[in-house]
Amino acid sequence: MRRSGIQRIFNNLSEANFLHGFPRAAFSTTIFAQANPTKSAKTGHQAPPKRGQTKLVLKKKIPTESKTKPPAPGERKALRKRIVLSNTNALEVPVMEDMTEQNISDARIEGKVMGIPGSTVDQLRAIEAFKPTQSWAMFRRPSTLIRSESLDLARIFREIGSSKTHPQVLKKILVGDRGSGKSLYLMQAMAMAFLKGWIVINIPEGMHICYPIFNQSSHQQPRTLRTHTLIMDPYPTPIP
Amino acid sequence: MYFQKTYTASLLSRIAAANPSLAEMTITQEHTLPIPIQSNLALSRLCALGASDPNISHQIFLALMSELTSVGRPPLLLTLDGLPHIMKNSAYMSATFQPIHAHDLYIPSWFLSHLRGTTALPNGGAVIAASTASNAPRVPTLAFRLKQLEIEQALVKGTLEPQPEDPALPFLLATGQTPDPVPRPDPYFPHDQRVLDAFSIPTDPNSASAGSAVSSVNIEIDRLTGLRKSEAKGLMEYWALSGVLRCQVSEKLVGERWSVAGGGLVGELERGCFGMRA
Repeated sequence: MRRSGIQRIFNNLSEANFLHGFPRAAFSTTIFAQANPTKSAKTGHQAPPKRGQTKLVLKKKIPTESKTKPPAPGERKALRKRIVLSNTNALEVPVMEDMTEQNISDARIEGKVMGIPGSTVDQLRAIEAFKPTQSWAMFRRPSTLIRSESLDLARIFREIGSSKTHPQVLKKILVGDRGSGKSLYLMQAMAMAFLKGWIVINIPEGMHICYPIFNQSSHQQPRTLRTHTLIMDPYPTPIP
Repeated sequence: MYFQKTYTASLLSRIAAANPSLAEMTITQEHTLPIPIQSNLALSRLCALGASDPNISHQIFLALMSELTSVGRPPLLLTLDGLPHIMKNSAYMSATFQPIHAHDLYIPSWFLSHLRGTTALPNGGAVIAASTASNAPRVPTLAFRLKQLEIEQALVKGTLEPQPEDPALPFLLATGQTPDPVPRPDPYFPHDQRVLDAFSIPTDPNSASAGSAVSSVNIEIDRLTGLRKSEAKGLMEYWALSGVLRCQVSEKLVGERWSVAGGGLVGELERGCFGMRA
């Protein structure tokens, strides 16, 4: 094995210390400066063209192949759109009671934060009621504040469910500033409907129906459908 | 009219996954479908058939809706988030390279027909659409129509707030017209007639009330504002109990955070309390 400059120098240190009869410092940069230069490996330095040659041909640098495995198609998107509903770093709040079909329209729960029962959470997750931009991942379990608007909705739902002869249909459009709780209101409505045994059909984003091109490349074939996978149509089919 | 087979298929799979009671319901009507189905097929299995084959998903969706709106079924809740997106041209182009309006796609038109009331829900239920403020396209016609509906609703309830003065008021008074608090569409603005009619039940042109400005609409416009301070306090106490808000929840703190949140907007309150922490 080829000895490095330092090893060569240290072997001769005892001699170097008394070079030319003079004592020298134990560590000195002079030794390194006087050492022969190390031979460097050729790193692709192109020699200049020989005399008489008028063409300079440069070799193309072969790109090094990446040794890392890229993520599977759809993996990055799934990671971005994932919904995390529980965080064990958050404390459990034992005084918090759960929503039930009976207590949801009770006046005493106004202003209280109620937990959503586990089976209802599964249903809400399946129907895409939760959004990745909401802060469910900060808490131990999903819970929601019962506002006065929520109580009003619960009372209307109770009336609708109880009247068998003349069932009514509530038709509502929610408007408001950013962050005023419109999507959460929809989530609460879905939770109440699930608790009451209604059938819920949710269109989580109107954008995904009308702007599919931003979500999918046009040459991608529709894959085998898995639950909760958002897949877009490259073009709609006309109804004859 | 166009339908989106892959979206419909994924919608059917979500409906089946979220509503376990569909497994107990069986089909009661005769359906002409491209595939043979047994007479006692469970509705969840019907959804699964549509989810697995996008080519028949649209017909399966129609069959499912006709089953769910037949007598004896539980009430139905239909919800949609992002209303402005379905009130303008979609990103699709027709075969002649004309933009396809969102109302020409089946699912938005289906939802709007329920919202408007032209398609009934015989077993009752609710149809709720939410507008969106972030990532919302500008749809002036929709904004105008919602404002019209809100003012009409406030007039009926008697809670109309004083509106800014109409610049045309002197002209109206001078010409003997009565000023109407409900605004009329600007005739010089290219309003989208389909959006203007989206929330109106089409009236019979031969009927006596054909001259009325707005046909009868039963849609409630619910404007969500900030929380009350008591509600904000309850929420912040829950956050503190969860260990997410590391402050003593006093009246002072609630007042401060409520004000900074634009008067208690829930999203802004969350941001202020545990969005960015020191």
